[in-house]
Amino acid sequence: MTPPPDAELIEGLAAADENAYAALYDRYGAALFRVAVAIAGSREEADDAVQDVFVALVRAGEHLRTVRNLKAYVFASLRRAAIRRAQQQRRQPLRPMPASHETPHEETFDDAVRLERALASLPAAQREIVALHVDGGLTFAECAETLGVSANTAASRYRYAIEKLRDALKG
Amino acid sequence: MEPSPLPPDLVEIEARLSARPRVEPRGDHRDRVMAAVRRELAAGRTPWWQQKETWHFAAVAAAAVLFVWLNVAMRAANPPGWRLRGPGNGVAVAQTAARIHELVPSLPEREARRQAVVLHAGARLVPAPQPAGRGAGALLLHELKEGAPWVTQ
Repeated sequence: MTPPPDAELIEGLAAADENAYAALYDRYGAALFRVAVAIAGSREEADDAVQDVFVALVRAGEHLRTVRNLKAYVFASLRRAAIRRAQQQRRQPLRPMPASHETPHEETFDDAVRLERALASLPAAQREIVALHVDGGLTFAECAETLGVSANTAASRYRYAIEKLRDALKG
Repeated sequence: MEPSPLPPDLVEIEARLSARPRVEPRGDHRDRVMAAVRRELAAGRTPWWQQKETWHFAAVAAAAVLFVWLNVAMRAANPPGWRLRGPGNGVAVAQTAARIHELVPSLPEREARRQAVVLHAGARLVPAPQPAGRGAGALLLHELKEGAPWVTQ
C-alpha cells in the first residue's frame, strides 16, 4: 500500500485520525528518534522527545492544516522538544551518541570510535545539521526550514562540519 | 539523502557517517508513542464537563468567590469603629465629634467621629528626635533651628 501524501496525512492528523498518527510514525519515527538521540544525548530523553512531538501534534489539531512542509514541521518540533528535554536534565545538548546495539567488526571498531569522537567535538550547530541531514535524511531545504536559516547557510554549515570531521580524523 | 556538491575526500567522510552504526528505537517505542497519542486523542474527545481540569478550575473559582463574599459580609456586619486606645478616650472623642457635628451639621456623624479621632491622635503626638542615620528625616532634624516649632502632623 502506498503511503498517503503529506496533504492527506496532514488532513488526517488535523482530523484526529489515529491511523494518520500511526502512518506518521511509520514514515518518520525512526529518523526522529535518531536525530533526538543526537540532540538530547540519551536514548531515554530521545524516547520522551519523540513522544512529546506526537502529543504536541494531537494538541495542535486544526492548526496543522496551515502546515506546508510536514517533515520540516515535525523535525522542528522534535528539535525544540529534544533541546527542552536535554535542558531539563541539565545536560549539554548534542552530547556524543550512546553506543549502538550493533557491534562493528574489530578492525573497524577504532575507526567508528574515532568518528564518534570527532562528531562529538563539533560545535553544537554543526552536529545538529549533521544529525538532521545524515541521521534524519532531511534535504538542505528541509534542514533550513527546521533550523530557521537559509538553505545556503544550512549547506555551508554542513560542509564546514564535514571538513572539521575530516581534519579531526586526520589528526 | 540529496546529492551534495562535496569534494571526494568530504564525500568519503559523509559516506562513513551514513554507514556508521546508529541507535535505533526499541521495538516497543511505536506502541508507547501510539498509546500517548490515544490518551491525548481521548482527552480531546472528553466533553468539558467530564474533564478534571474543568472541575479543578470550578473549585478554585468557587473558593475565590466564597472568600470575597465572606469578606464583604463580615465588613457589612461589623463596620470598623473609630476609636483610640487609652482610658477616657472614648468619651473625649465622642464629645469632640458632637462638637464638630454642631459646627458642621452637614457632616455625617461617622465622618465627624473620624475627624475627632484624627484630632485626638494628632494632639497626642510627642515630638521625638529621629533615630541616628543619614536619611532625609535625620537631615531635616539637623537643619531645624533651635526654637523652631515642631510640626506634629
